Amino acid sequence: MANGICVFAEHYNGNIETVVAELVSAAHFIKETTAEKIMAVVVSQDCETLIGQMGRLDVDEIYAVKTESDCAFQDDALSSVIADMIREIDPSSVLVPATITGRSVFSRVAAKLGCGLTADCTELLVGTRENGSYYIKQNKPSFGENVFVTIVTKEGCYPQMMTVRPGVYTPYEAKEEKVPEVKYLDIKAPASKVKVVEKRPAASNADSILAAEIVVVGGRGTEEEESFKLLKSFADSLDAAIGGTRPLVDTGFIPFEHQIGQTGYTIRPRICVSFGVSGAIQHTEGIKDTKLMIAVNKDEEAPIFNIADYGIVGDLNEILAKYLEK
Amino acid sequence: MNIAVLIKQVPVSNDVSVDPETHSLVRASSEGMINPADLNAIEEAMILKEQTEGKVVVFTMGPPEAEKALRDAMALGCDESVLLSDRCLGGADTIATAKPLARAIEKYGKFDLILSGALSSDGATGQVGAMVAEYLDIPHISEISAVQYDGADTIRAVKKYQGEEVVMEAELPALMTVCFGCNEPRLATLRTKRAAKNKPLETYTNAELQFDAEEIGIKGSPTIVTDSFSPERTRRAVMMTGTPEEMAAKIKELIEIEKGKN
Amino acid sequence: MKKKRIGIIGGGISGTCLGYHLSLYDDAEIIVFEKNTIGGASTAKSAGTVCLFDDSLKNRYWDVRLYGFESYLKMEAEEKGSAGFDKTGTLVVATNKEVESVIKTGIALAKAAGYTGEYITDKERIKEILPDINTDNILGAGYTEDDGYFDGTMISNTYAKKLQANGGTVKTGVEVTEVKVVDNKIKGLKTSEGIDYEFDVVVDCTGPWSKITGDMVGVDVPIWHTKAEAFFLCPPGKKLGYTFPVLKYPEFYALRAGDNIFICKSHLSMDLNNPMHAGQWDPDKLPATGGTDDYFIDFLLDQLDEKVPGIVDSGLVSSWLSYRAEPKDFWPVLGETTIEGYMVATGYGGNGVIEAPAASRDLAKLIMKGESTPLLENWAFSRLVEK
Repeated sequence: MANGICVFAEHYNGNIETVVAELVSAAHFIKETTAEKIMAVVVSQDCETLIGQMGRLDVDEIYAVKTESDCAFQDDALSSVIADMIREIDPSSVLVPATITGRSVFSRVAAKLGCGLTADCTELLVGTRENGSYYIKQNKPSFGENVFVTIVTKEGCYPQMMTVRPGVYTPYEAKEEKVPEVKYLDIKAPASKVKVVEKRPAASNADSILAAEIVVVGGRGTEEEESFKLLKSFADSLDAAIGGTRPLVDTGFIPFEHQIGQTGYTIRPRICVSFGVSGAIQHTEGIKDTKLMIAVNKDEEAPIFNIADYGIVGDLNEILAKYLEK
Repeated sequence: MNIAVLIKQVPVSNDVSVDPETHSLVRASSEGMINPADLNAIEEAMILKEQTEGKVVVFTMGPPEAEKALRDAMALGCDESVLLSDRCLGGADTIATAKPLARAIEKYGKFDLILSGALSSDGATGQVGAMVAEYLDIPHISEISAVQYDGADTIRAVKKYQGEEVVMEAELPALMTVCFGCNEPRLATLRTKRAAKNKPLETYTNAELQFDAEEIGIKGSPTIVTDSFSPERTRRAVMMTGTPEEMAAKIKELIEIEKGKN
Repeated sequence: MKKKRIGIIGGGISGTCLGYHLSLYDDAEIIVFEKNTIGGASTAKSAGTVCLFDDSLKNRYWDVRLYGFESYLKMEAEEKGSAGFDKTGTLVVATNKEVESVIKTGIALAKAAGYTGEYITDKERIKEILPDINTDNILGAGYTEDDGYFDGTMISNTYAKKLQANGGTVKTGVEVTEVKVVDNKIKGLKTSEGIDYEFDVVVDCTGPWSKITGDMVGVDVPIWHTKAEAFFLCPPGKKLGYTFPVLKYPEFYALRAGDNIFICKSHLSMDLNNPMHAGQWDPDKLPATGGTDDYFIDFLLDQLDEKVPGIVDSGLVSSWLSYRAEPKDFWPVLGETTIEGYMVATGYGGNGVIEAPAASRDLAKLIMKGESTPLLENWAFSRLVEK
């Protein structure tokens, strides 16, 4: 009978990722109802160091596989090892960080095990079936953040596997160090068909409003040369691309390729900070799927505040000047 | 090099709400489009096609209306297309989506490379690509921002990871999922739109795919959606007030927090 | 002084422009109700061409055209960008004698008003203005460098600001859910806020929604929807080496939008009896982008291949579909209806940006002073009611 809440101890460059402690918080929450053990799985060349970093997570058991080489980015090999581990551990649930690595590796694990994988959960709740067995209600956003859906792994289908969005749960930290029971499993990683050739510093994306992670958008309020200079310095400090609405493009400060909206491009940056954009439909149609959107505008009725996450009513010149002072 | 591209038709608008009574989805518009990141995958395929010759076949699974997405993809230069469409495939989760896609690829022909967008703009699970690779038993590299191919039996890709670019090499055949924004997708023209109407489109139903009923659709999905609801937090901004100095600090703090989420 | 209470349904170009013209009267108390954002629906999809002598409005209504154009020039002069003016000039192509004569009359009117304008038959000169054009099979073209296109959303927002400065109220995100009529007379309306308002006059400025709005009071507003299908094109070389003017053919028109070209089927080329062109649809279901029909691609490809071959291989950046509200005779519907106090300012059929200023000026006079004008009589609701 499947039992236990299993957390994938993702790591990179010799460090357990912070998100693992967050997932352990979620696991403790589930444990309060189901009273299952919390387990962590770790796959590494150097398991000892990583296990040493998990002393304050208050997990009951750690399952480890020591690999002969560094398997980072070898998602085919990693998924094979992890699938074998899960078969052996037979947990009722597996919590995975919703990260590039987490979703890549566990998509393969899910296919190998024939179990599902719910993506990007922001809330995990425990439900009870009529026969008294527990199940996890996996809540996740869909269609941007416009809808939340509850996903449930079908009865009898184990493990219930899900990725959980980083930053949702507070990292778990027990008051005292505790040495969990560590079990090394004798599983061999198969040869990977992927290898890492080189790592190099990432180039800046700031010249492309489509590729940039952060985009700073200027509207009518940044048409004056002084304001635009502040906007530019702000963008440079964040390695952000500058996008603009038509008024700003008309001034010639930014090229048409950086015009956002129905006549220009639709951008999907992770972070968007807008200054002096009122938010008429032509502009807001051009900004989608942001994780964080901050809008600064002097008009508190500006429609941009309907689509932003955070709104600041104020003078963009003063705020930018203060920001850049530091 | 023959390339398969997996695309998804997504709603033009994510303006979707939930009926508080029935909990069913209310869509502002039914208009569909090619998922934005899939356009970047198509663009990578086009660049490789120009470099290596060979053909590009685009696959999608969906209702008959998803033909529009395939025609749009062919207007961008894809040569042929396959629509997996059958009522019994409907309601599938990522597992039950990846299985038929993998089988359709195998059935259609031999491909050296399979590309897809990294994440969709609606579900955003980022899973189907890697699952297809697993079902085909080939390596994959997910969420890449560039592909380099020099004619050998391996292919290189660049993955942005924690502030670095990781260059990787995979043995062919392989699958890659391509990030949104990593290239500038070409545009269709009126002429290529018209030409796309006459390019080959095959429809696969389960008669061709030959799955047992328990393997696909809702029955073949290990996970099910049991409820949907509107978020408590609406998109109406949290308004903040204070001195310019305080506001500047707040902006800094919010950006730092989001950046820290990896 | 007892004020006249006026409720305006719809915050597009029609509603905000009427609200502004009413706000010039001291004894008007105005509230504009907009269920979404100001100038955000069909107005946002308007090309905003207000040209001195194109084919959009008969020369018979020259004063309407001139009043609209000069209202926006004045707005733009007061605050740059407030009307979104892009002075690209306009080239109106004559493909037959009839069009040629209309253009020539239009040029004469423009010149009489102090603007430049000329009818060009030298095909080399036409090609200098628009290098990508094919001058075979055309007679000539009218050209002025004084006009261009405006931004309907900006104009609506400017009117909204002005009417608020004059004491009026604008409520956005508020939908009118009920219009109250007692003894065939307007009493007021109810909104999605759950508030009851009392009004002496309620004006329907909802354009493509007018049928739905009219249903709330039992007035059948005789409008149809015609499809305004538009594309944004990215020229083959990405940047044109010249200023692309507003370009008018009887079948379509085009204008620049940044480095791109906006192109749309003209409203007079629509056939109300063709189900591809016209019908009764639900404007709430219109997507913000996309939605165009396949036939439009064929239509445009053939048109551009023949007429502007230099841009036919442009990239399709985006497209949109908008519904124009058109009565059978393609003229607006203004003024009193069968319900006392219930008025309409709708059916502009894609010409709202051009026609709203003059129509609102006259309608405000009718509402506040009870005085009708020749324009209102020509465009009266009563003309469409079966006798």
